[in-house]
This record gives sequence, C-alpha cells and structure tokens, in this order.
Amino acid sequence: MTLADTKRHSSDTGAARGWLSKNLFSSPSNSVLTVVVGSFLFFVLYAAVKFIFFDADWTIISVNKRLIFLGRYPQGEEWRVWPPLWLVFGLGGLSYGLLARASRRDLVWLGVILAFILGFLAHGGVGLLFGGATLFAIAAYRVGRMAEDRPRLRSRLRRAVIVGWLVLIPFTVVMIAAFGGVRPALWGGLLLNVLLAIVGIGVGLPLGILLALARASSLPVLKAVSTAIIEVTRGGPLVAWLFISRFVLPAFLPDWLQVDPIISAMFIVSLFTGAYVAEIVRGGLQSVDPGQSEAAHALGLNTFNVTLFIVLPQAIRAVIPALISQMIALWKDTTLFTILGFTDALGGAEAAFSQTEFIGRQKEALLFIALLFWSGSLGMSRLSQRFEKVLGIGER
Amino acid sequence: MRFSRLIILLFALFAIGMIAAACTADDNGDGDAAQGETLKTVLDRGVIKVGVKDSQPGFGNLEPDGTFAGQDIEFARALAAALFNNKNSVEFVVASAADRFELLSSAEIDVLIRTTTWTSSRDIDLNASFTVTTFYDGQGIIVNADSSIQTLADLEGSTICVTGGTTTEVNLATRLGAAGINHTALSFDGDAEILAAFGAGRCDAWTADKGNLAGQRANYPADAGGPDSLRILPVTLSKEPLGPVVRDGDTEWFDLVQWVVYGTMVADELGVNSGNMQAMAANPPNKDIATLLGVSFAGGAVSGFGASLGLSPTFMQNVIGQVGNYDEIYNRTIAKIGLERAGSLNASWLDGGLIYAPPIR
Repeated sequence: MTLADTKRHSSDTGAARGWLSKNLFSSPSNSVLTVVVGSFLFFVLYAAVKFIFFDADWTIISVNKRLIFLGRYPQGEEWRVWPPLWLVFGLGGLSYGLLARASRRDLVWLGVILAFILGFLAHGGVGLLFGGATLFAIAAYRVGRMAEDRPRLRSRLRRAVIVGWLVLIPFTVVMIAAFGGVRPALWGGLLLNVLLAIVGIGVGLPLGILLALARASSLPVLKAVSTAIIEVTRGGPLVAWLFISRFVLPAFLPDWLQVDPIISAMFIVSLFTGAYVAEIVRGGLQSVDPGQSEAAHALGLNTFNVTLFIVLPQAIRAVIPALISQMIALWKDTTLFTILGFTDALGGAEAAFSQTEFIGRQKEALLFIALLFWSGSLGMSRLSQRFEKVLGIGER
Repeated sequence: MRFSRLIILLFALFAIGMIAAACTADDNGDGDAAQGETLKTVLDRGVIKVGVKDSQPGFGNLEPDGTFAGQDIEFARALAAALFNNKNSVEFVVASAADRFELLSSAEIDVLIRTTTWTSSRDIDLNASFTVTTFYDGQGIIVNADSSIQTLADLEGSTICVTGGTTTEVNLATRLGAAGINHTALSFDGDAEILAAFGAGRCDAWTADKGNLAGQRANYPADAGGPDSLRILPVTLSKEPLGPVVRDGDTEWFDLVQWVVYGTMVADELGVNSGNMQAMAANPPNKDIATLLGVSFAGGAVSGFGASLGLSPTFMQNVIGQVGNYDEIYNRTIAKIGLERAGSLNASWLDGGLIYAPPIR
C-alpha cells in the first residue's frame, strides 16, 4: 500500500479528493473542462433556483389554473370530468398492481407529483375529489397486487382492465358531451391535450399496426393503398394537415358529412400517428426472422394466427422504445391544435400572460406548461421502461 | 384474388361518392355572401358566431374563469343584444392571425372582430368588408409621468428610444421630419434593451405600437416606480384602424353590424348610457334620442331604424341596457390597459377625436 492510498482512506475528505482527482481532474484538459462545465451548471442552477423560489410570481398559475386545465370549458359543468378521471386513476392503479410491485423510485415520483398538485393546485372540493381519486388508485393497486397468486382472479381482472381502457375514450366523450353537455368547441386546456393524445394513441396505434401489416402483405392492392396512405400522410407537416381538415375538406364534403373541428382533429391525429407507427412496426416486422413464420406455418397455423401470435408480438416487442418515443412526440404535438381555434393548455397559458395584470409573466406560465408536458412525457417513458422490464426486453 | 377485387370495388365506390359529394356541395364554396343570407342564418341558429382574439389585453383576451373580455368582445355582445336581446347569445371562435379571413369567407363566423387593421389590400382583395373603425390604433409615445413632454411638438431636441430596423423607426423619422421636430433616435434590438435604457434615463421618450406600450407600462417594475410613473402621450404616429369585418356581398348584414356599432357611438354623443337609458326611453329629451331608442317623441309616430335592419325597433335599448355606449365599453376595456380616451384619436369628434357616427334621422 502506497502512501497516497493510506492517505486516501484516512479520511472522508481524502476519499472525496481522490474521487474528484480520478473522475474530474485526471488531466489538465479535463480539469479545464470540469471548471468550465461546473461553473456553467452552477450559474444555470443558481439562476433557476433564484427565479423559481424568489423572483417568480406564481400567482399567474394559481389564478389561471382553470384556464390552463380546462380552457374555455363552461362553469358548473366540471362534474362531468371527474368520473372519467376516477376511471383513469382506478385503471392506472389496477394495471400497475397487476403488472408489478411498485418500485421505490416510482413511489417517490408519484408522491412528489401528488404533493405538488394537492399543495399548489387543488384546494377545497377539488382537492378532496383529487385526494379521493388517489386513494381509489391506491386501493385498485392493492387489489391488483392481491391477485398475484390467484390466477383466476388475475385473468378476470386483466380482462376487466383491458375492457376498461377500451371504453375509456367513448366513456369520456359521452360524459362530457352527452345529455346537454359541453360543445366540443369549448373543450380545452390540458383536458383537450390529454383527450387528443389518448385518441391518437388509442386509434393511431391499432391503425398503424394494420397499415404496417398491409404494407408488408403480398397483395398488391392492399400494399399500394397502405403505402399511399402512409406516404401521403407522412409527406405533409401536421400543421398543414390540420389546416386542410379545417378549411379544404369542408369545402367539398356534403353537408351531412360536415363534422365538428374536434372530430376532424381526432381523425387527423389518429391518421398521423398511424402513419408513423406503421413505419416503426414495419421495421419491427422486418426484424422477425422469416424462420419464425415458416416454422409456425409448418406446424399448421394459418396466416392470421401466425401474424397475430408469432410475428406481431416479436415485432412490437422489438420496437417498444420507438413506439413510446412516437407517443411522447404525439403528446407534445397536441399543442399544435391551437391553430384550429381550441384553447389547450398552452393556449390557456398564452391567454393568461395576456391578461392585463399578468403581462410580462410569460416565464412563469411557460415554465409551468413545460413542467406539465415534461411530467407527462416522463410518465410515459417510465411506463415504457417498466414494460420492457416486465417483458424482459434487452436482457437476452 | 377476390380480396383485392373487393378493394378495387370499394375504391370505385368511394371515388363515386366523393364526386357526388363535390357536386352537391357547391353552396359551401367561398363565394360572396348572398343578400340577407347572413341575418337569416344567424337568426335561425339563435346565436351569432364571432371570430375574436384570446390574447390581446383590452381587445380580446381570456379571463381566468374562461370567459372573454375586451373591446372586441363587447361589440360582439352588443350585436348579440341587438339580435337576440341577450348579450350572451354569442359563440366566440378563437381566430388566429393566419386563419381569420378564411374563417370569415368560409362562413365559419358571421363577423370578425379581432384587432384587424383596415387596409386597402384586405378590403379590396379579400372576401371582407370593413364596417366601422371601433379603435384607432397606431404607433404611440411613452414618457415619464413627470416629464414636461405633452404633445408632439414638445419632443423638440429630445432623445427617443426605438426598435431598430422596424416600420416604427421609419414612421418616427417620417412624422417628426415632416413636422420639423429635431430629435435623436436611439435604436435598440428589442423591448428589453429599450426598457433598460429608458429606465437608466438614456432617452426622454420611447416609441412603439400603443398596445405594446400599454403592456410595457402595465408591467413597469415597481422598484422603478410602477405603471403610474409612465404616461402614454395622446399622439399617434401611424394608422392602424381596427373594427368589425363582414363578408363581401351581404350589404344588409353589413348595415346591421355597422349601425349597431354606430348606435353605441351615437348614444355616447347624445349622453345616453346604461344608467339613464330607461329614463330616456320613457321620456326622450329630444328627437334624436327617441329615434335611437325606437320610441315616440312628444306624442309623434315612433321613429327608429331597427325594423329596416331586420331587428326589433327598440334594439338599441337592449344594446345600451346590456352592454352600454361606446364610452362605457371603452372605459371597461381599453382604459384598463392604460390608454386614456380623452385627447386621443378615439375621443368623440365633439372632443376633437375621430369617433364620429353619421347622423340618425
């Protein structure tokens, strides 16, 4: 043992110095880099902390949270939003419970988000409803865990969860719009972003898989049609498609086919997501060894079963990271729908910093919107990692 | 190959359907509106669709509770009060700068009231007719509240901060040059730099669009004196007339929109407001007020113009009672962002401004 080593182990400061010199100051150029990057990080962090906790005036958010979360949604109709939200919480908790035991990291994150919502955003009745939804989610999670060693209950719950997720979109739309409900033009805020993202994923994903299968098929017409749909959709920017759906299509559709802008928005978001998902899934299909389907055919399975049970699971497994990344992109693209005249979360924030008393408070409003979209993206990314772990992807 | 034949058949059917649809959908084109068509559509619908802005303080912006506020919004409500005796029978459609004229010409909205500047090219080339100017916007000048500068002439020998490379800079040079006022223009890259320079006393005045100046004033840092330490001069260096826009071709609808707005201006001139309207209608002090409110004067016949517009004879009572006259609208909205009406272009012509409605008789 050399003198240096003895010294390193002699005290904590010595150990820290050793780690520093090994990792950050191992050569003159690395030392320079450390100092430059370190001081840059320090100033960014200092400015951020100073702004967030001292300079910023967050009243713009607390006053305008309704605008950001619900947009122009009419007063007195808020109750329509809660049943779908409770359903989401319940299904989320149950799905999580059925999939796996909650990791400490996830719990910490959920706790932070919940504390933030209850401490800063939701007070009084809203806070109670929100807290109730959270307890409901926890209870659903417990039920999911309990089913772990009861196979029959487990398979029943699984079926229930799948059905639940499938009816979520229709249920939400009916809850909000039906029985003298809210006109689609008034749906807004984060509610609209979430709704569009869910429709985009819920319709776009299956559509994309179908398009990918069609494009990979040997039937020339099917192949040509699907290729045309994919290439035409991908060939235009999303904003252009939105404008076309709003101003070009209505001009030559008959009256009985005239649809609400929100419906055309949902159609466009599904088609657009479908086209990109199709190409991702096609990549996955190509990665599946032809031997797999040959072997399955040799065992006597028909083409439908080969595709559904042999090829597709392997193909999709291979492209889950790319699919999730597409979903995250879609989640953020939902802000583009403001050009159709909707007031989504970003539009609500823009309206908020245009109010006379909040002029010049762009920073607070935009930071908050960034936080909202970031937490949504982070959630999806964590979900994807969880999926990958459960499916054992990347461990072979 | 039966499957692919089926698909070809479906395609053919789809193509035929599209062609048939295109043939039956001629009335959905972007043509000019037909005479009287808009009013009929609006009355059948029971609600007027107005294209507005959601992020311009004083003109059209969303409040925290999700409702709209601003001068443009008030005129939309005035139209609803005139049409339906209910100022809330409005469906606001958020129009962007890019799609507002498209929304109008495709009949998605009945009126566009969205801080839209009346220009030759828009009026002539687009399917759009500008009705009345409800606000004369333009480039303005802001000074410290305790400054001795009151009028354009007082700028003689002063230093003026301006954003470089903009029409604002050109307008300043042109207007002050024409008036023979010697000044030094100090150019900066953006508002933040000007704010710093102005705060440091490097210039006596600062010129920009009035809406922008009003916003900067409203947000002027408290440690520098806050909004009250700044004053926007009642001078205007460029022309930005804003007002409601309708489709070309339907002059009846044009007249209706125009005269509801003129009605609020006339009411202001005649001193009729939401507070005294009831009393004035019961006992009109003169013939003009009786005509405006659609009541009889001194036992004579009822003279009004509501019926000829396709409205109730007393429609202006609804407008003034529910929304108010031009001055009330102005004070509720634009005055709130720091643009005083008195002495500005938007004062009544009786006070030397440009707000001037044709006589009613």
